[in-house]
Amino acid sequence: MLELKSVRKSFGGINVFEELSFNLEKGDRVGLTGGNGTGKSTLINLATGFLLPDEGEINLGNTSLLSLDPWQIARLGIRRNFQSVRLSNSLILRDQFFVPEKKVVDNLEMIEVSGIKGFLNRFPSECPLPILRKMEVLRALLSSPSVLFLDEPSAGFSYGELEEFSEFLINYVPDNTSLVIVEHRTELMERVCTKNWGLFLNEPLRMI
Amino acid sequence: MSLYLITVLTNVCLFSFIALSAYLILIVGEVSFGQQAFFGVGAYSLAIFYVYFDFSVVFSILFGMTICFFLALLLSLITIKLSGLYFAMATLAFAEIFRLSMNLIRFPIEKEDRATGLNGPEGFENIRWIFENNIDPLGFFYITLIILSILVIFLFVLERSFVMKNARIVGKDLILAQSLGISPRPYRVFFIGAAGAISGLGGGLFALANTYIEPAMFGMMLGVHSLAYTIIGGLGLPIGPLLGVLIDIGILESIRFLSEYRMIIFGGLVAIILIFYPEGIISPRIASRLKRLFFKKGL
Repeated sequence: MLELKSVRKSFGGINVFEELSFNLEKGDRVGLTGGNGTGKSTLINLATGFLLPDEGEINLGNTSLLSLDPWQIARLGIRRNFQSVRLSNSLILRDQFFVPEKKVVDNLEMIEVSGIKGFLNRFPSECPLPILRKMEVLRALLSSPSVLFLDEPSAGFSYGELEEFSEFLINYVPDNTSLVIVEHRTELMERVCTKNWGLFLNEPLRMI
Repeated sequence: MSLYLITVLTNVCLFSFIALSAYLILIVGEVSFGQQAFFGVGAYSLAIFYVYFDFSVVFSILFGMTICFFLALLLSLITIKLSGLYFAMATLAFAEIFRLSMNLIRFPIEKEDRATGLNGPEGFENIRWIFENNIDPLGFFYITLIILSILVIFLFVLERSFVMKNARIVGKDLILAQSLGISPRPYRVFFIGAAGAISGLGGGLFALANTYIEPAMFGMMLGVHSLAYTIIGGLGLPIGPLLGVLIDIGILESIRFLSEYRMIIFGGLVAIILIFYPEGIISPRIASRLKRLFFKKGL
């Protein structure tokens, strides 16, 4: 479905990807890990249009994503969260879903189970980090994405929170949504993902 | 009400329009130092349509607003790649081009034995609508107040819609907005356009109230003030900028023994207010709190 074909990307003189290819199928659960600077976040930025590759192709089905702006790609259903939480500090969490009100009401159960319900009337600065990360994941899920990239969603979680969160992802990420989890630690990927890939500098993706 | 008070309140209403136009642009995350130009274009368009072409005053104002809207739209399209400081510079340059051109354009005429028409730095005299229609200052104050109220109510309604919500995210965090599927460009372009029209509306009313306009009235200080009003009033709700105008024109300019020191006191006041309310008196956060209080939604 989402396909990166022989993508090359370098920053200045530093090659991050020499010739990266991967194919994401409907409903895939992919874990992606790698050391610092191997291009984990770059891969997400490329797939969501925030960066352009120097060479290669990126396609969703038959559509090329190269000429599209990030917001157009988001509307095609490729959603992401950010490594550093991006929520507006002047809005309470309830106002930050950015989906029609009906969608929120229909998914009350999911919101409840995620554990953020008690925080909905608070500003981001009044919530602990795990809540904010879950909030971002929830926001993406409510938009019914076809592909969901999560950039280090469990950073800052305790072990208990991590278990709970993996349970949540297993139960609430729809079957036809492809999920890509990018992490340093492997606990979350081991629980949620069926395919685990490793990124190594200038090498093709490798199963681990 | 004394005539003096009426004049002060009318001025508060008139400058609220330009403050609201600065507010709209700040919401989409840009800073314009050029809103005084649209105020001026509105004033001059009204004067030209009303005096030279004998249009009715309503049409003159509407035409003025339309011209301002398209001019602002054009400006925002030309500057589409600019942001921050560079956008501010471009708007300032535009405003100065307008002001200096008005200094050069002369096309005086006589109407009913009175000198009027475009006359460079000497200004445009005898826009006599309020005399011809016997509108007393109180009546004119009510007219501006009603128009301003309609505008503010409209902005409040807009505040509850997705348009304002998306625009605020575009202004606050462009990357987040894009990742949510919000296209930033239409918001930026149309908010700048609407701001131009609102400023032009205020300018038109200003020309009617004053009966006389000159290019020097639309100098940079007017634009700087409109920004200052919004910044101290806050970006949370449309009444924020009005609060800023009220503090400056309503209190400082109108207390006579203070008016000499107005700039000094106003500058100090801005600094003090921003120390205690870094996001303005009615900050977006306070606006969120108020919304939470008044509109309890589901969940």
